[in-house]
Amino acid sequence: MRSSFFRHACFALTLAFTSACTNNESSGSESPTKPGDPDDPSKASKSEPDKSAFPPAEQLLARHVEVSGGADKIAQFQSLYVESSLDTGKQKLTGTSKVWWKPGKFYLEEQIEGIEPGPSRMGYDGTTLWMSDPINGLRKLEGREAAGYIQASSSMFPAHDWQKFYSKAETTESIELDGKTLWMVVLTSKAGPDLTIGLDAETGLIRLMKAKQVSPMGETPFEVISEDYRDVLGYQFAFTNRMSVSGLIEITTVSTKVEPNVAIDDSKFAFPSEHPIVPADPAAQPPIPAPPAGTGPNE
Amino acid sequence: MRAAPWVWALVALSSLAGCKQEPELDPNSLAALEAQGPPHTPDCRSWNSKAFEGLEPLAGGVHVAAFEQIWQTVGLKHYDPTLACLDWIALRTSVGQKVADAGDDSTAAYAAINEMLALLGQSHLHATPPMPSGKADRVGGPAIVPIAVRWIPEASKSSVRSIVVVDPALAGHPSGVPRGAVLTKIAGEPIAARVAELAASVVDPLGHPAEQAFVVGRGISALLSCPEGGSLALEFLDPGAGDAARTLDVPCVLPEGERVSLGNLRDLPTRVDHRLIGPTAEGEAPVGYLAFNLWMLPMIPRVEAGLAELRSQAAQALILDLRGNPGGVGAMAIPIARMILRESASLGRLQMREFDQDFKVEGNPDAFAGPIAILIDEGTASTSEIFAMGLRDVGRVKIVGAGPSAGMALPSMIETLPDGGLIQYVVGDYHSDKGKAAEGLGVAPQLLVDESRTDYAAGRDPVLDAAILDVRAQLGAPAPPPASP
Repeated sequence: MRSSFFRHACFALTLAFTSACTNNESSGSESPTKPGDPDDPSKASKSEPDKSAFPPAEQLLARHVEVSGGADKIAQFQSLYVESSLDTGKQKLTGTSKVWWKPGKFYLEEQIEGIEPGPSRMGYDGTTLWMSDPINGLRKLEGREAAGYIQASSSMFPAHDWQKFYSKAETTESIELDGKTLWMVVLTSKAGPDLTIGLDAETGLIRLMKAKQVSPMGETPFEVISEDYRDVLGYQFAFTNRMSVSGLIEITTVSTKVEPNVAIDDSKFAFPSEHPIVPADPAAQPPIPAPPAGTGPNE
Repeated sequence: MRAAPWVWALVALSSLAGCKQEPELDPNSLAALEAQGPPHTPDCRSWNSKAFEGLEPLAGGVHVAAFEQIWQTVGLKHYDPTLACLDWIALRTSVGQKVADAGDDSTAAYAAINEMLALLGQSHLHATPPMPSGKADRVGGPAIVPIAVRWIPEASKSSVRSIVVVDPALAGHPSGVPRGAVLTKIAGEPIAARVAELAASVVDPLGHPAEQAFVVGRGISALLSCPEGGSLALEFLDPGAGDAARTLDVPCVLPEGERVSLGNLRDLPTRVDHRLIGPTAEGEAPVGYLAFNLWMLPMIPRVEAGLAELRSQAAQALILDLRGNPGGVGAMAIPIARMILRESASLGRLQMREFDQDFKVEGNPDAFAGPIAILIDEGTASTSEIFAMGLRDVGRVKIVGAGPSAGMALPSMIETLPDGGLIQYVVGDYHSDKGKAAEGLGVAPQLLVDESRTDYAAGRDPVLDAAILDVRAQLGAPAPPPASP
């Protein structure tokens, strides 16, 4: 599912900084691009392409919406619940993710063995974006970091409402991926990181997405290859997404349960209520009220 | 807290047989200038997947597929895309042939592979051969003899070192071997030759000053693992009996602690210990002692709870004992640092192959504010070194130890290989906020303590004792006793 775009990023963010004791796996497939390769011959020898010969980005994005099912099918989705498995292969890191989505709102939980305590969580109620993970604890996200996640959450239907978060779309090049030609469309973000989408020239479906994940530790480039498109209420979703943080980790997400239009209480998206901090000094702690008569353990 | 033998399995096993090759550059050249930044230069090519396309297949062999994976993985994921200016494709041909020639001899094949990896001259870069199937391993087993040993000087300032029992009990299991005993035989086998062999395997002790003690201690500790329900005969020199030789059959125990799994690392016993070191004289400040044996994220609540309890007991200073802690999940350094940092700070910077990351810690107004000492030894590695060096360089802690830490502080990953072996490879370079590197030389103590067998035989822990004195001195004059409620 397209929503995995942002939860992939969340997962990778946690794992990307593992040190001496963490494991990793290299995927069998080559990355279609290697950003930053200083002597990539394909880049070094490439002259500036004639972009006027490329199909307009708006046209490619509109085609994607159409071949995926159309705007009327998208309008059917008032909510969505998705469960997925996460697997890094030989690295043997596995887990699950659950996403509850409504237009403009989301909540996700990820549970990875060894990346605990408890699941990492993230929510957005349309106003406040928050995240709780073992590294940075519970916090509200702001600025470019928040914008990155919010625009990624819209990636459920990225070509449909792209103008909500992006000011410009431009077709920049065509590349080959697994024998298929992709048109690469760069979406310039209004407030977050730019997003590059690779659209299959033949099918019009999205095969590749590239962006940067913003975190307090910096920006991490990553890319997602989408495949295994399946029909959900007449709309095509990618059920398998392979994400790679270059040089670090590859994660495959497979959607295992997709339930459209389920009932989701809006409280699920809201910032968790904050518990009062109890001072460590017992003398400074508030008195604990005595239990009512008749409720004691020996009564 | 000391590292149990199994802990060494988590640490890089690199023999470091070689030094990173530095290109000879004109100091005024563009290359020299660029070399001051990310480690690649126009004169020293970077490697990428395209460079590896269309290569001739290697000759067949049992371990060739594993070699090919190692060669590719390191070539494409090492943080330095120039691979220290090595001709990586030429190495594929020459080392690949050696691996092919080795046939099913995993020792020979992996020796060739590690020889290639050692050319990069870094820790956390090592291939471990598959365990031979059906091989009876005398020291194999999930249990351990409940002692901690280190290779330390016999006496103050002495250059003669021995394998000394520094902790005669683990997790409440007494071994019966006295503290300060010198271990001489394990299961009837003298260990002197093994100690000498391990010490001699370190080829660059000046460049890696803690490595000999690390390698020897790890190697001998590995001999102390044993089958569950079994026992191991230990011969030792008893300091309480004029160093008379004694033999004791010590029951093996399973390491205790909450088990944590992360990827290929399964069921690691994790321990968090804390206690209040109370005043021994009137007016002395109570000092909290906190130790944990690994950096695994599920341990965070226990570390938090330990510190909270120490604060509730009015600890005015804190000692974080990272001796023997080999590292773990690097990101755990952030939430632990947040417990002791009121002001925002950076613990340093990781330079990955294609991006950088900053170990930023958000200031915590409720953080513990008293003086803190971090204890290190040659077994303090990886995340423990990043944490210690990062906090030292922002002036929050004082590092106390008898010598530098392991000097193995590079972020790494571990992959399984087609033949069942493992490859641990470096993915990033670390520098503290002041630009200091922990790799190689390790973290140097700010308070250097003299430590020898004599101390342990007398029941002292000189590093801990020195740290207690130091944090109390930082607190200044004894505080008046608190008013009665």
